[in-house]
Formats: sequence, C-alpha cells, structure tokens
Amino acid sequence: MTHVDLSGPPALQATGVSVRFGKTVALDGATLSVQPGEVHGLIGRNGAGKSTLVSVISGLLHPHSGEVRFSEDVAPKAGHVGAWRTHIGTVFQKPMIARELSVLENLFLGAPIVRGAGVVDWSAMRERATSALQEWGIAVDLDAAAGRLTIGQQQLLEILRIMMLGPKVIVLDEPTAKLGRAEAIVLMEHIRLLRSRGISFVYVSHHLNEVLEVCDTVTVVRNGKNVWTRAASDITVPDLTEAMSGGAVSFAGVIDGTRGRTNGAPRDVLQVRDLTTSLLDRVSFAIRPGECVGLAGLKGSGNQEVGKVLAGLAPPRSGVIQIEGKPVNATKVRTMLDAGVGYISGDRHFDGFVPGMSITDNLAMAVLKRVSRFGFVDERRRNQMVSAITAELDVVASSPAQQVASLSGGNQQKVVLGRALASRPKLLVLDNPTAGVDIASRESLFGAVAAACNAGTAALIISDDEEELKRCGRILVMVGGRLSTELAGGSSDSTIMAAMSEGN
Amino acid sequence: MHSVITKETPSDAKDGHAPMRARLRFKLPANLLLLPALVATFVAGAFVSPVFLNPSNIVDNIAGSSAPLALLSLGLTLILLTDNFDLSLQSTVGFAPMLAGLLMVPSEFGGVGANLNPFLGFVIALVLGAGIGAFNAMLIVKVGLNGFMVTLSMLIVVSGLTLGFSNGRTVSPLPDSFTYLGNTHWLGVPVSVWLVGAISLVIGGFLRYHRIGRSIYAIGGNLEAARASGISVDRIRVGVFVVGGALAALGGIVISGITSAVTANQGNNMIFSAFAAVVIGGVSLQGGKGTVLGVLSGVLLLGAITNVLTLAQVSSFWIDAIYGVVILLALLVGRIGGKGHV
Repeated sequence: MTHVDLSGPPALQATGVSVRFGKTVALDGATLSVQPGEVHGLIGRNGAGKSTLVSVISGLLHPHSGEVRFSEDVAPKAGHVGAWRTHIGTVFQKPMIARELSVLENLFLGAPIVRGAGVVDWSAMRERATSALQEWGIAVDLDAAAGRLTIGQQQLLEILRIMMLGPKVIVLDEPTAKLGRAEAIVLMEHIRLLRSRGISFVYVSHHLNEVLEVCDTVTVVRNGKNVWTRAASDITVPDLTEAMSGGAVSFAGVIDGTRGRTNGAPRDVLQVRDLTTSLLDRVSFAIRPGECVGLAGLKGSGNQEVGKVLAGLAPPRSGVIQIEGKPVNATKVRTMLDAGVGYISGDRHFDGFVPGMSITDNLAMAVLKRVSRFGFVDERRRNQMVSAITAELDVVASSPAQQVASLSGGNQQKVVLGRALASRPKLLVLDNPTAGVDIASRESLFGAVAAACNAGTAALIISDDEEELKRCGRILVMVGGRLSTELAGGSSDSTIMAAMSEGN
Repeated sequence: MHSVITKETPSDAKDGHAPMRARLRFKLPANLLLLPALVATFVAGAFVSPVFLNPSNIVDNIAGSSAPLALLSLGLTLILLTDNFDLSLQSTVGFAPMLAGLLMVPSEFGGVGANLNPFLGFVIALVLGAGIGAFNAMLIVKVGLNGFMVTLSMLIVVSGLTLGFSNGRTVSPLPDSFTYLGNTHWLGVPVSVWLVGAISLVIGGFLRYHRIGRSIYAIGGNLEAARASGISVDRIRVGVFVVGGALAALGGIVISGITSAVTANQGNNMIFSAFAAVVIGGVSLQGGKGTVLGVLSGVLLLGAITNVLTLAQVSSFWIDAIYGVVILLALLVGRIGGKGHV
C-alpha cells in the first residue's frame, strides 16, 4: 500500500449522505472516504444503495443531507456537470461513447480544446490525443469510428476521456461486466499505473474475487448504510458475502412444488441439452413439473441468455430444447408461446408492457386469440380473465382501465407476470422478476409463482439476487456461459453469492 | 438504479410544482375534444354567410368534399397507430385512378386503347394502391430502411410515374360506373359519404373489437412488448401499409368521380391535410393512440374551415396561410384540452 498517500486529506470524502425517493430510503447517512492513490471497492447487493451513492459522488443526484468534498474543497453545486468533471469522472456500465464519431472526437466529447471565439483547435486535440494514446500503449486509429472498437477498448477510451479533464478520482461501475478475462487484465494494469500517479478509484463490482484482487480498501453497504470499511488484505470473500447479506437467515418459504409434481405430467417439463449460442457453452439441465429452479449468475454469466433462448428471442446455435418431451425449434416467440413457455424479461420497460395501454389490454395482449370469437375479442370473457388475474396477483389500481404507465413499479411488474400467467404456461421463465420492486409486491409476485407451481407449472427464475434465488427448490449456478454448480434450495445468501462470483 | 424507479412512477410525484399544463387541463373525453372547435367554426360560418347552414352546403360541400380526405386520413391513421408513416399515400391518390383511367378510356380521349371494363379498372386501382403500400412496407419493415426517406422517395417516384404515363394530360371523361362513387346521391347524401361512414364503422369496430385491431395499438405502444407477447408484429405492420394504400386509391377514385376526370397532379399536397386532420383528431405521431371518431372530427373540422373561408370570399391567395394558422390553433387547443402527447 505504499502508493496510497495517507498523510494528506482524502481525495474524495462523502459524509452523512442521505437520499430518499418518495417513501423509499435509498441512502441513510452513508459515508465514503478515498485517499489519493487508493483503489476503493464499493460493494453491496442490488438495491443496497451503491448506484445511488455513485450518482451522488458523480454530481448527478443532489442528496437530501450530507456533503461531498474533493481534497477538502466543497463539491460544486449539483447540476454543474462541467465543474464536477474536473474533480471526478465516472465510467458507467452503459458505454457512453458516440459510436458514429471518431476516436478523436470521442476523446474530447463535450470538452473540445478551443481557441478564441469557440473555434475548435483540431491540431492541438490531435496532438494531445496522440501522446495520450502512446502513453497508454493503446494502438487505435484516431480517425476510426469509436463504435468499431472492442468493448474493452471503448472502456479504456472512456477512462482516457475522463483523464483529459484531469480529475483526481475515477469511478468505475461494474467495469469488467462486459469484458473478457484478457481485456480485464489490461484494465487492471491501467488502474495500477494510474494509481501510482496518485489517481484514486472507486471500484463498484459484484465480482468479489476481482474486488479483493484490485482494491486496497473495501466498503460494504447494506440497506443504504455503511456496514464497514476494511483493508482488502485483511478480508476474504466469505467476509464480504456475510457483510453484504447481514448474515440474515432466510425465513422466506422455499417453493418446492411437491404438490405440483403429483398434479402435473410425469415427465420433465423442460429439457435443455448442450444449448450453445455466442454466449452459452453446452448448457444442459431439466425441470420437472411443479418445480421452481433458480438459474443464478452475475451479469454476463449467460443466465439471462438462457431465458432469451427459451422465449424465442435468441435463436440457439446448437443444442436441443424439449418441452414435455417434444423437441421445439426456439427461433420464434410464437413457437415458444405455443409450446407453453411464458417469459418475462429482465427489462420490463423495454419489452415488458405497453405503457400507454390499460391493464386489461396489457394482460390480454398475449392471449387475444383465446379470448376472441371469430377474431373478435369477447369482452366478457376477457374481463373475467383480467379480474381473476388482478385478484390473484393483488394488483393495486383504481380500475382495470388504468394505464400501466401510471402504476408503481411493483404493480407494473405484477401486470407483466400476469400477462405471462394468462397464457397458462407449462413453464414460466422469469428474468429478475422482482428487481426494483417493493417488499409487499415481491411477496405477491412469489405467491403467484408458488400457486402456479402447485398447479403443476414449472418455473425457472433467472437472477443475480439471492433474495429471489433462495426461494427456489434448487439453484443452478452459471459462470462464464457454463453451468458451474448446483446448490440445494434454501442455501444461505453467502453460499449463493460465493458460487456466483467464483472464477472471476 | 433508484433514480429510475422515481421516474417510472410520475403519478407519485408530490413535489408541489406540478407542471403548468396539468392545471390548464379541463377534462373532455378524447373523442369530443374537437367539439368546441367544430361548434365555433359552425357559428362563425353562420355569421359569414346565410348559405352556410343550408343542409345542401353541409352535406355536399362540407361532408361530400371531405370524403376523399377522410379515406386518406383513415389509411394514414392505421399506419400511424403502428408507429410508422407513409407520405407516398398522396401520390397513390393520383396514380391509381390515373392508370385505371388510361386503361379504361378510349384512345381518342387519351387512353391506351385497352378499353378495360370499369369494374376491372376499379379493382386494378385498389390493387395498385395496396401494391405501393406493400412495397413501402417491404423496404421499411423487412429491409429496415428509414420510413421517412422511403416514403418521401416513393412520393416522388409515384407522382413522377403519374406524370410519365399521362404525359401530364388530364384523362377524361371516365366511364359512368367508375365515377359512381363520386357523383351519385343516395337519399340526398353523396355515396362517398355513405362509403366513408361504412368504412369508418368497419375500421373503428375492427380497431376496437378485433384481436388484430388490439394488436395494432400494442405494436404502436411498445413494439418489443408486442413482439414478446407473440403478436405477429411484422405481418401486421405490413398489413396496415397495404390497407392504407388501398384506402388512398379509393380516395383517389372518389375524387375522380367528383370531377369525372383524373388530372396529372391529383392528390398533390393532400398528405399535409391528412396529417393535420389525424393529429388534430388526437392520433399520436408516436403510435399506439388515436380513434376513428377523432380522425373523422378532425377531417370534418378542416372541411368546415375550408368551406367557411370560401364562403367568406377570402382571396384564394390568402387561404393557405389562414388554413395553416387554423391548424396550429387546433393543435394548441388539443394540447391544452387533451392529455398532450401531440
């Protein structure tokens, strides 16, 4: 830790930061202090407040209380983006590059070198860019379109752009989520190089081994509060997982679906053999009727890809998928729906619901054929179906005619699940079904899944959230596009977390 | 992550400074939003000229002359509801009846000498319209080209074809059975108005009650969600272009029926009136929102305004400018009175 300057004031200090969103407390007096030249890991599970804290220290979100200081200077006012960028730069999970513009233009995006009267000084920019690329040992053409770089190069490009403005602190939000191992190693090397020059990092990641490898210090947050901050050399992965989960024992019921097994067909509902796509490597598993199986894995592990394949959204390269023993060709959504797969995606805003349509129309969308007679929608039949589903899922709304856009996140998700249930699937495939959902809605959602399982439906829950996974009767863990292990139902949070971050 | 959650529940925002627009809103069912504007126009018309409220003026001059625009607007509406659009519809209005006319009219009146049966000519015109729509849809939905550029190019190509085939001449007179839709009355009301009524009922009922109609709204509201629900998204997106093209051709046939001729520039600039009518009528340019009743009242409003301006003997050189201002006013009224989203 010789590179860390402990004598001076912290490069970044956030104290007593509290943020509320309506009734939800996202951060409650959180604190973060980073010395010059320190790589500081920030970990916590989904919803713990990591992203909110990152937004606050990046100047994107103004906290209700608390303050941020850079080298003892009070941070600029929220919204003064330009002023914040000279202190701190953030590389978000989503690449923030203009794909059509050249590498050169991207390096100076929003902050070009200008002569008087706002005229852009191209030759000076080209000179600075060339020397920066050389210094970093990155061999890319300045005039190439940035979108044609590899993801790793794009990420380095973003870090380089941030460095152009001379901040002392860089925030990396899940930097390796989309990187291969080789690219990740290059990134680590650059982090070490920069920290030897006194640059500090805030390193946000789910990959715990990686955090321990690259960070000097680690801060764990849970429920919007700090758990502890310790030197990385003193701690192990189990220490981290225990701190993240709070050592809490799960009281939530495990969905074992024993009742469903006797109700359903005798053979496996789903059989997947040697499923291979660009992201998956020979994945094989089977699910019995009434069973609720978790498919665990961090972002990029391929577990979400399995869901897309089963939904018919990502045609597999090779492998066999059988539903109730019958092979299906997973190339079309309609085929998979007809085969009995009900899918809800991980991004409800992208393809989960139609915001401007009523609850009724959203629920009926996938089953219009079934509630129609001679092509015309039988409104009585449709409304019966809708009221049965809204009652079962406990959707809180003024009427079934209410627009889904005006519902809370939890109730929107109930509508999405309801739509999947409406087609009476043999297999439910749920991608992070309770992400960003309040606790009461989470219980309603899992209650509906449990009811479906008891009636013989099989469920596959794709998730990186232990809260969801530990409800499953058994848990299949994916790492790097392959199935790595199988865990028993009701495994502790830390066991699940450790298995997911294994090998990273 | 949390900031996203606050965004998705705008109704929960209790910050005390609701946007100005919200306070200006007075609630009217979306379908009746244009009623005040229509009433105002009719009152103005009554003051301008005693002829205005004459039943024959309303039935023939307003409703009858609006029928072609209504057909075009209904076709455009179907396409807009799926979050696409088609500028070339206006060229179809001229091209389809022109080609049919050339095939039907004897060679001494400028035809090609095929002396085609008028019924066959009618069918050919509709098929041409549908075909142009299908071609557009192919390029937009299947190939993935930009809808604005594709249909702008097709607007130029198809109106160019009309000029080329006709050598810029007007084709006339057309066979009686071909002009039937445009120049006959049933019970004192033009057949074209009956036609618009019937087609509106069919399309309105289809959109409201048929499963494909419901799917059209879903596609325009969130294409990906519709796809994930197993709706045959691409087939429906192509289908609305085909129907839209056929309706534009039908509108062209009605115009030709009214004048008993096809001019080489028939349909020119009509797409702008159609866009104005549907947007004033509450159809969202972002797709997924709009009703047949709204579109019909938008068309009626534009027709009534044109009629009032004509009766007021406004110089024809000023009519366009006034017409444009009125459209802007109607949009403003819709923005304040409706739920926005125009």
